[in-house]
Amino acid sequence: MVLGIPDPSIWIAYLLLIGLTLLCVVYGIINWNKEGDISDEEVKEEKQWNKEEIEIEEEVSGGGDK
Amino acid sequence: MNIGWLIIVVVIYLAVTAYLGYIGFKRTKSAADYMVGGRRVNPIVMALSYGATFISTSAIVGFGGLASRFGMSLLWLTVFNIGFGIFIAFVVFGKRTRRMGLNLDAHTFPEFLGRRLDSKFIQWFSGLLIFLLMPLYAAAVLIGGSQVLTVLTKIPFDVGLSIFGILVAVYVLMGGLKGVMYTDALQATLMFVGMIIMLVGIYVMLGGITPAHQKLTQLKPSMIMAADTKVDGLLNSGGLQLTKPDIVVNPSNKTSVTNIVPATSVFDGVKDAEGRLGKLYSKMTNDKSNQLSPEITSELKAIEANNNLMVTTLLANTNLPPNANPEFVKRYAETLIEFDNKLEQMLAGGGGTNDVKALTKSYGIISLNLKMVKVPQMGVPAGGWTSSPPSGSPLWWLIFSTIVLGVGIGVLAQPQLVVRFMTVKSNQQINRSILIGGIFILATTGTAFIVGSLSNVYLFEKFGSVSVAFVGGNHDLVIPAFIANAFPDWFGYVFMLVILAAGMSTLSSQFHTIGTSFGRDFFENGIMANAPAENNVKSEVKGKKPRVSVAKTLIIIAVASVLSVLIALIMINAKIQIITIIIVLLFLWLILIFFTFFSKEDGHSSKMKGGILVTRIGILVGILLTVILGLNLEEGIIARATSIFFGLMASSFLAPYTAAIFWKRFTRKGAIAGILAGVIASAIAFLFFHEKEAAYFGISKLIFGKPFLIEGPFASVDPLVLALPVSIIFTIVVTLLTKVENPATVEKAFKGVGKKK
Repeated sequence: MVLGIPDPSIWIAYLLLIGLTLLCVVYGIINWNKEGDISDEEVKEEKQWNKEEIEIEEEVSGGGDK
Repeated sequence: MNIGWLIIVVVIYLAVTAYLGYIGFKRTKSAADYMVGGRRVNPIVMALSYGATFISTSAIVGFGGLASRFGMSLLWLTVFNIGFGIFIAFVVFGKRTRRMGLNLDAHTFPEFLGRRLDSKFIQWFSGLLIFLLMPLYAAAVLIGGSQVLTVLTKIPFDVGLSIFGILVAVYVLMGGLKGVMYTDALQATLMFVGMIIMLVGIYVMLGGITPAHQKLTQLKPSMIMAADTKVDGLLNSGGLQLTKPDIVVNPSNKTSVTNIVPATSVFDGVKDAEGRLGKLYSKMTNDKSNQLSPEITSELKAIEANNNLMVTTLLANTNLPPNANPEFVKRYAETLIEFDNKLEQMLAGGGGTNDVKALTKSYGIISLNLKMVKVPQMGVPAGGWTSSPPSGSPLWWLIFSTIVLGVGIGVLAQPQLVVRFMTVKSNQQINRSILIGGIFILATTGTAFIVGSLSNVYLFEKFGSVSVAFVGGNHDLVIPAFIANAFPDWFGYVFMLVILAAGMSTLSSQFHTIGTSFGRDFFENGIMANAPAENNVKSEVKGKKPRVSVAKTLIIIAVASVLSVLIALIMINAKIQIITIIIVLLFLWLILIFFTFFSKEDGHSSKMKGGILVTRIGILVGILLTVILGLNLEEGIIARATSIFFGLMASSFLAPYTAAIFWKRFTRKGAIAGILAGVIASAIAFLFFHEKEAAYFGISKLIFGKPFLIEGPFASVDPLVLALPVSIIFTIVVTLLTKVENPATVEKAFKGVGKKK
């Protein structure tokens, strides 16, 4: 009986989901400043990508204010 | 709940949403030209945006309601949601998808697959598949939102659903789509706060975490049966429902009397109540004040206590608190007495089930003591709500194959979620969003499943009725009914906003995906791929013959026919009034015309002009299909429709998508084989093996004379369990038997992938 739940298959899930959330939190904190550098080439690609993306947005939703 | 206040709150919310959307859109646009748009986007905003898209009214209302039936074993879904939906999805899939999406300049999920494998077929076929199937999931989300609107405001279900549908249509077409991060962040924050209040609220109400679970454990199904025997004679909260618009209780507004067992004893119990209600009625008639006096209120409570007649429940459920509208109680008492008299006469005269059905129908009574009949069939785990059903039992398969596996794993191949990774600016953002994402999923789905399960304790303690019985059998109503009964009015308004937020954020992404799947993936890259370049979205095909091929024309005709037949069939079967459909249609077309002809055309490049109309037609057809499905799907469908969609996406795309991002040796033929094998295996399983759907479609019965072909527990095993392995096998084997078609594309796609910076 853990947390008033007798069936291990349930309390394991209950504890596991709290544990997994903590894992996400810890992972986020440890890697908070990692993999942040982006090459110039990537920046260039992103500019291009964004232009196209905005055109798609306009196709779908009419573009809003210009 | 005060409708006036609700409208004010909702209007303020919509205004804030529209304003944030406007600001966000302006920023996205201006950013693109001179800097990388959104480079400064807060990772919290990205995580909330993903979370708001992922978690919808379907998760909160549909799966939460399901938890009231199946219990806490549904928490495994939250485990999968966090483990796969956040951690694996972000760390393992997200980072690669982001980099490769950029390398391939892909903007939709089908485009990603299509460009990775140099295949227009993969793109348009995937687009078509998503376009045709997504309305099922969108309908589930729409129903979830509308059920809450209906329970809290008492407007009829079809009206609520149409209002919700139109709100979302306007929102989508006005630009409330992805990229509008601030709106998503607002919506996610609302969801987060609302759900936390709910979680804390229920644990406080039930005396703490462990005591609450203990109470739930003690509430064994045997006790439910005992309670049922005890309340044998009552017309419970879901019992007597009148369809006059001001007092509708059952939001689905469908006549559902098929399961009635017309046992005379059922009606004996109301006799005492009937007499006292009769007296009460005359008292109320003489009472000139517009308020129920304390005397009448306490008499009502006494009747309830003595007879298990859910008078106060009814009052609460009909938004008629004891001090508000005596008229309803009068009419209720009056109708109850009249109906009961006729019923007694009928049963005394040897009337059968059909007569009872006719009588209940003529009174607009929707369900009659369904509790007694439905409880044994409702699929509660034998050990109660804090236990899992026995391994291998049909219920176990339903929970673990359809729900936990289908949705838990299926999340990895969801088109509307995969595109989120392409909008992320760096792996750093992904790392940071994992933190927020995990907490968000725990707070939303974790809460929904815990509250759904524990609502049984609350409703049983307060009304002597477990949740599913309390709402008359439709578990989709449990969460809204629980909110209406357990929380003060102000939380009702908050929860309405939570629901609007959860519904709108997901629906807008769904309709966005429907639109791009139809316009960009299916139409522009499939149908128009060989058309003259000026109408074409991609200049790559300029060199090809400028014509639309016969095959493609046939596909257009086929798709149009399938759609027409589908809509026609649904409309014929529709129990809804034709006028509702016409109004919804008119609205949608007005919106279409407005946004197509009155939006400024000058900034658009020529390739876009062709796409705008098609994309919007796609969205409108999608919304229409969604609304029609929403009005016609059966009760308690939200979680199942969502699971079916997630499962279908996983069966078709998970294997090819995974191979596409991890396996350089992956071939186009392998991908096509994987997708088609998944689709075909799913179709076979749904039409011939899986009990519920096979019986529904009736094709198995038509061909083999049996509603479904496999007997035993396997009839409950989700099609995913068959289709996903089949798809994986075909993906791998066909790839191994073929050669990479275009090594240059592979080089391009994997450029910079997997390198740590």
